Amino acid sequence: MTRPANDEREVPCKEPWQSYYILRRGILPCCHGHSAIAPLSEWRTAWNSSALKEIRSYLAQGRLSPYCLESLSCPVVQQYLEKKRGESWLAAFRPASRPPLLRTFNRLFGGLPAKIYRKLGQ
Amino acid sequence: MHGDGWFDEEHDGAGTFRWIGREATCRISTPSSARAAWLRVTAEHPWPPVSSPVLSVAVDGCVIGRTAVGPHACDYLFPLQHGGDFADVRLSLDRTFTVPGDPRSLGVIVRALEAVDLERADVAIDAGGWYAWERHSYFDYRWMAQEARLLVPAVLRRRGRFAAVPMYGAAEDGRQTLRLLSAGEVLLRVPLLHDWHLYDLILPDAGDGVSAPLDLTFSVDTLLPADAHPGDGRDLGLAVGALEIHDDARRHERFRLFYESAVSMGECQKPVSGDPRRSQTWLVEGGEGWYDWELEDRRFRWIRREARVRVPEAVRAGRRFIVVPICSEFTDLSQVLTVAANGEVLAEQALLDGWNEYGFDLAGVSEGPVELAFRVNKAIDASHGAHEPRELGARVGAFTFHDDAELHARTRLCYENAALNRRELDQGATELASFPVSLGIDLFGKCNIKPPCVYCLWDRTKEAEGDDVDVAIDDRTLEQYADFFCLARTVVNCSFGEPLLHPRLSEILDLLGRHRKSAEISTNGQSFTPAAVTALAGRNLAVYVSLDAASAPTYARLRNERWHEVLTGLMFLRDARRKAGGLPRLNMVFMPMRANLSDLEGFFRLCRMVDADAMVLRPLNYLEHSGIVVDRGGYHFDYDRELLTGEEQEAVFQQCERYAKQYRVRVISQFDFQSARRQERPRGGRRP
Repeated sequence: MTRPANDEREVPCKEPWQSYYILRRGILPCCHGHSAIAPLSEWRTAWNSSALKEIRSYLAQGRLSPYCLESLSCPVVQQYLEKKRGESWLAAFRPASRPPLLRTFNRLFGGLPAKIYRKLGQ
Repeated sequence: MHGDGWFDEEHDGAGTFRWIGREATCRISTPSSARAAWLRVTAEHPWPPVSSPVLSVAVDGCVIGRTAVGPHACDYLFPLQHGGDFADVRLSLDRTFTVPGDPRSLGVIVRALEAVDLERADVAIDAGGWYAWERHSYFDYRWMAQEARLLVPAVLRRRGRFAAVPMYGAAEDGRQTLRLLSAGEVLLRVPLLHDWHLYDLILPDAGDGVSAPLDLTFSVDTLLPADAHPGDGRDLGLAVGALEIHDDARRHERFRLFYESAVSMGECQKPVSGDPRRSQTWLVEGGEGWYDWELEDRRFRWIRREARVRVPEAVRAGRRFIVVPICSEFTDLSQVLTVAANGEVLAEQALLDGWNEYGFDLAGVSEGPVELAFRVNKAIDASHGAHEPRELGARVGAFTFHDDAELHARTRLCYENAALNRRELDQGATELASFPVSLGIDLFGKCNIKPPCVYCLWDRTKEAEGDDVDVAIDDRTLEQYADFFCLARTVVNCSFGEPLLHPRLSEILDLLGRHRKSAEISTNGQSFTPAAVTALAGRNLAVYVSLDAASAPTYARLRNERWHEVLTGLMFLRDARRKAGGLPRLNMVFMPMRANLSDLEGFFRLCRMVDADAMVLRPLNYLEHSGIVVDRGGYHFDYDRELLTGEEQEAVFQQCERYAKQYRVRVISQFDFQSARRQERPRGGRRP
């Protein structure tokens, strides 16, 4: 798949085109990838696997793929989430940093409240 | 308490002081234990027209010592035989002087006068011959001239068998010799290496119940020539940092191995010549349309839209191929380069974004000197270079001439792959005919830091590696990766393991060198050994040393107690890199977090001292509820709390900017991953 020549949307990340990680923990499309898209043994085929093609497809359309959005250590994703949080109607009620009490509460419930909160924020 | 003969207190850049006349008295409190008490006088005589006066020191009417006072602030120590709580001290001089406009009859400046209890002191005491401490390098230090004396109190001496002393050998040819004496007996006689090194010396056995201090004299055979320190009138022999006593035999052994290796090589300070890895490389000299050499992650010269240079016959030496590294600022392959040799066009090709190597065949070019001409179809747009009055075409690095047809073919194939990859990216293709331009590899899965660094996801990663955890990956594996390896411009090691421990490290580095890969290897620095440093020296790769600390206590919070071994290795690596034309490039990694923020400035000083190419600012990865909580080095490390907020990160960036200028260290921020922190640049525009 290629995008039309007149499509000028900026690709948010070029890593899945330019980089490829053949590691013991598996094949990663990016140094911030949260998990392997294929085992090490599939290094020949994973480059054009459906998983990697899907990631490229989203990015080519100027969007972050579900895989990217799960890769929370990625600065691009962090910046995207930060922007989304800023746009959310909840932003007005959000303190600069999460209070320790909420943090503890969140931890007690395995991070579920934070996930719901982030989902609402999107 | 000051008595007679003291003038009013004054201040200068070094602190407060008082002049005394021909005689001055005062009363000082003395330690209860008189056996090991000494009187320390910090004095100077900064008036060169009058020769140094002799200072006599008397306590309770008895003269305890005499010394000539030099022109720079120095500590003078005298044994204090006194039993009471107080001592009446009288300072007498054999001469005074006057200066025009000042009615006072001046003797010397006294900056400090105190009793020191060497039975209780837990730091080494300067006992004459030292200038004032200076604090603008990684190590705090003070210079000595030919000889200086240091007293090591018994309390301190009993802490271990070894003394670690940072020393700066000023002689570049390695011909300065240090003698270390105690009670007139030579303990040690060693050649000094150039620059800073953390020497680890064996001390004489202290024995049980010894209460007398160890009296050490540092002596060097040569002074620096005066023109080596213009504007500084002092006699300078050796700069010495604070002495530390320890009992870590492993640390001592690490230094000994490095030192003996350096000394046994004999010519350790001479640059390497005739290294086949570098002998064909030519830093372009002269030429038309070239600006001066600059240094970023490599040396380069900007060219205008058109530039030409005459390559001498001796440089080409009949070789057939030339590799030219070029960096284009245009992201869309729209900048086109035409290369001509002796007036004949060799090639015309679109330039890739960033640094790339371009190979050209000189087969049809006659022997003898070659006139090479470069022309780009467009220079950087003036609107993107408002502060840049020069016409800038592209950046060009050092040329390499060779005869390897395979290498030439690979260089061409790498370029074609990268160009295709760029086109596929621009088209938004999802199934690619091109191969990655950057390949991440996993060289070694074992680490020498056990338990792992506090923030390392070691257990989770090893679990994820599953059955592949022990798979061997080496040069043969890389060759099996075929086009994934051969066509990649950059190879980055991303192991959860220490690559320098790889049993086939040299073979892997040879392979990377043969393929002229731009390679990056991260190491924790604890595996620097003479063999590892030798294997790395002269390699065209970037070594990233993950430290995150500039001091032993901070390092212990994050890793372990082996800071000094890492430091020793870094200083010897610096020497090896200097000999080998600055290769490998050294990038020092610092991940700012709450545990290490106080070390930021020290880290810049360290980068400067070890001649790092750059300080790399790397983010501590954001993890959702990491659950990583570790108590180490007296510190409670809670991963989630160590992450800095956006405002705190900004403050760190600003500090880094300031220190980068102050210490002249380049900063590479990996917070800028894929321009996450930067303004998007216009397509076809210049890099910000």
